[in-house]
Amino acid sequence: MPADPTLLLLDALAQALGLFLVAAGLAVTFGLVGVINLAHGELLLVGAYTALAVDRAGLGYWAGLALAPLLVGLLGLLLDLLVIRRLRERPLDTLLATWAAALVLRQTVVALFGPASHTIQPPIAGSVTLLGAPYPVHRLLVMVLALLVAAFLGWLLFATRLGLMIRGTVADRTLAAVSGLAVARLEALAFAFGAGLAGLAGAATAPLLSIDPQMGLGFLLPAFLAVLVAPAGGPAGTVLGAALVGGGESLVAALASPVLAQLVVLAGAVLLLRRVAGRRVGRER
Amino acid sequence: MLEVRGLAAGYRPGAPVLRDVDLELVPGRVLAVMGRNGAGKSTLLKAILGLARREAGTIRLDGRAVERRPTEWLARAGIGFVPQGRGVFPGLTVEENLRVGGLGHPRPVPPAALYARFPILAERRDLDAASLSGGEQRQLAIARALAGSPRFLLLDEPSEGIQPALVDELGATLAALVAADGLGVLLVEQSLDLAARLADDCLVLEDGRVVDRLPGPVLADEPARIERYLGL
Repeated sequence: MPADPTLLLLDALAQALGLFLVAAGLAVTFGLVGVINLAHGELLLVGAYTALAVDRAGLGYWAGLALAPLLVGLLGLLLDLLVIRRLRERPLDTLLATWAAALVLRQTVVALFGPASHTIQPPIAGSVTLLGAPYPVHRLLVMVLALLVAAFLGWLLFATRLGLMIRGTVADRTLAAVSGLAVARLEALAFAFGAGLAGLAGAATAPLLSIDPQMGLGFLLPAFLAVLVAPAGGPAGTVLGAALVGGGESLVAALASPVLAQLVVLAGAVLLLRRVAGRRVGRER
Repeated sequence: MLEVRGLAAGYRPGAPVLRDVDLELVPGRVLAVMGRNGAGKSTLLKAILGLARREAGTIRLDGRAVERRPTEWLARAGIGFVPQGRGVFPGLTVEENLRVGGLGHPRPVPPAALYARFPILAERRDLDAASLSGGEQRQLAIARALAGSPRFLLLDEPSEGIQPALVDELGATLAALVAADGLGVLLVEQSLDLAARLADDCLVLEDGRVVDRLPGPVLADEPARIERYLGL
């Protein structure tokens, strides 16, 4: 447990913003497109391994960070065209199909990179002093990137023509279609964008973590929780949701115990199930 | 002209709700579709727009076959739709609703021009569309459909759930649109008063089939002829 309250708060903030970075893509695919994408963790995994592969190829970490969202976004587009679009009105089938996609992606990573874990050196090593406490530079970079993603999402959704089209489609996809909007194309674009954000999150957090084929699984539940407990729509809501889940988990783990923190997440999962069920009932009425 | 021939449509394969429906919608004229609940009136509008499963028949827009075109293509080609119910984007402001209505179209009507026709919407422009009254939501739904400069407007029970005084106002607005803009309107309606006021022609549906075609003035002059179909 960190003795310094500044470090404690910085860790909680880093955890919250890191989780936001992961949850932002999920907020797009689940919140906007309405797809419960169980492959989201594996899309993050592909992002992390892309950064690893590019780094190993000698092109450096930054090239991997730039390439990962593009590659994973393309993967998301293919997933939408081949699977999601065909199952749009069948949520349970979508759930199973994305779970299957997750297995395929994970096993592909195992086949290509093996089951062992890997590491990437942070591009800027060392620490800076922040509020009197030393803090790793890459953690701060991830926090800044998360804030930039939140600002970009806010701008995209609320200040652009495309954002208005997406919000209209989210509000009522039939009405959007009869208003002349190409709903299937917008949903494919939003899904690919959400996947790209997962890729970005994977590449951004890769130097902070042990990269192994199971790493995506650990992110899926907290990210879904962050999206579902979000007290408001839009990126600001997801930031608050991530603060509640990620920040809360970090503080409970530091002040009490990591086991209790996991129990809190588990309790949140129960809440998640009730809320998903509630939304489904609401839609069927 | 929007021309429908031999249309059969429904929601499940092999279970058509509509059978062998023919109609012609001409610019500057109002064709009312009347019938009891469950007669297939709303399904007819949805089938034209590709929102219900078309099983047979042809739909031609200005002589061009369009029955295989997706909904958004039909909307961009000039077929506007005001669905039954509120017909607005909840969570979006009034102004955003109007902008979304025009975004997918080659010649969108700016919100300012729509406010001139629906002044109450100008006063509500920054409010969430879902917070408007029923009558205001109907006006917004029609304005949203007009934002795409349609040549044909498909209206599904526009008077449903709004006060009689507002129905009169709605009738005046629609009549002005038809007269001034040459809009062709396909009006599904339960209210005999509104249909009698607007319709040039009337088509009666029963169990998904067209059972009668009446000149519009008959609805006002000889209401008994339509009332027997409506069970009034």
